[in-house]
Amino acid sequence: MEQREVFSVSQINAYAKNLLENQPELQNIWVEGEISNYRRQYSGHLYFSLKDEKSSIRCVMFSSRAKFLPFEPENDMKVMVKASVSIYERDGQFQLYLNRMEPLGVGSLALAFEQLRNRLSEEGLFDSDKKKLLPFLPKTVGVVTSPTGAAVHDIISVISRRNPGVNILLAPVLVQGPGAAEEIAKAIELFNREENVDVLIVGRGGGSLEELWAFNEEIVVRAIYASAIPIISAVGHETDFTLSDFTADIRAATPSAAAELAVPDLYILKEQIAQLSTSLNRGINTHLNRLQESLLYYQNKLEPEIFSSWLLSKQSSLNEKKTRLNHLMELAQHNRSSNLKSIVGRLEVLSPLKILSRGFAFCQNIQTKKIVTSVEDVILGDELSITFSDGQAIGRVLEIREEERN
Amino acid sequence: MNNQEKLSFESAIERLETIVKQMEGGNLNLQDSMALYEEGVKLTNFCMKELELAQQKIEKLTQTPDGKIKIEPFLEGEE
Repeated sequence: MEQREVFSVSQINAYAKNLLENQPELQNIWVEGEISNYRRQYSGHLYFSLKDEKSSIRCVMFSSRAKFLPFEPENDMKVMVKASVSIYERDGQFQLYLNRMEPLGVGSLALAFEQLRNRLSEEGLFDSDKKKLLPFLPKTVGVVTSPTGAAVHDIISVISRRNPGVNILLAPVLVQGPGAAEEIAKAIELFNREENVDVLIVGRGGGSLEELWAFNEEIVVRAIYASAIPIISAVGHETDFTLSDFTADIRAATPSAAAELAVPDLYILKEQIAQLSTSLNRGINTHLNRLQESLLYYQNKLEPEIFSSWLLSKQSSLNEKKTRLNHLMELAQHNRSSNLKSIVGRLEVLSPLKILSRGFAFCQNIQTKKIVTSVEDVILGDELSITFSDGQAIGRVLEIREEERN
Repeated sequence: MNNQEKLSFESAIERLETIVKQMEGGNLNLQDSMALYEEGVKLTNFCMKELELAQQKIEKLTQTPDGKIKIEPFLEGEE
């Protein structure tokens, strides 16, 4: 009977795992490949496959390692990993356990910078309409930087020179190395929560990309974005751009430039005010002079002699008018009375009394009241009244004699 | 609140410029020009007063491990 040696699945897997882990050629080795099926677990562990043209291998990077990755792996990304080959015993899964991972072709920090910049930009953290205006004349400037670098010195000396009345409140922080980003972010939050500062300068002096890295970290960028206090970023030199610079309300090329942006030059301000004050005085003087001149003009017009002669001339012209008016009135009166006389004269000539006085009389029928102008108007026996210039007589027609007309 | 004080300095200067321009333009009656002048002098005094130097304080803000805020004078080169 054939003797069979039987193993359990666990034994096989454990044996194989042991075998692989004891092969120095398969431990802590560099492997190059392209990422696929990438998945980040909620716990922070990363699972994916690395593949080349022919093959693929499962990979895992535990969160204890993955948390030091500055960039986010993506499918199709070419990477080089430092890893050990082993077997996941439960599933018999042959896989790579990763210690490190670097992108191929571009530095991991440069890649991380690009990735974070794209993400935050999409989220709107760099939008220009979110930028706050700097206060014109701050009383207190908050500074978040290292207490020992050149930056703090430059900032203090520039502010003191431009305006020695402005207070400076420094939050000393690490600006590079582990924990720097957290300290910077916390200091910005602290200023917003606790302190009455008018503007913040956040930055450091020059350094390598690694040394400036804290200012590219998401936690710092978000703290800057969330700050209610306007922030001037001043990281490194003129040519260095960090994500803090994109997020800050204004970027200064250097810490000294940040101090200049934060605080106006007192000397220039005083000069400006003095100039305005001079213009103001000149303005009011010119104005008053002008008013005085016109006042003098009117005053002259009102001199007593000039005024009385003016008054006299007005009076004499008034008199003259009055005389003329009187004259006209008289004339009119005279005209009226002579007119009347001539009318009366003409009336007298026509008066019947005048005619009667020359020996004429007129005759009226007493019954009919008609004036009698013809013998045909009367019949025998009519009573007639005969009017003379000085009275009347009453008579009766006794006889009618008609004159021959022809 | 601090912000508003600062803004008012800026707007004081702006107003002062406007007043000077108005006065230089003429066409003002005596009452108006005196009122403007008076306002201008007040603004000038206000601005100068804003610029009067307070004693500058250079301090350092730290948070102790128990979360309390500590403010102390900052001396350069001390740390």
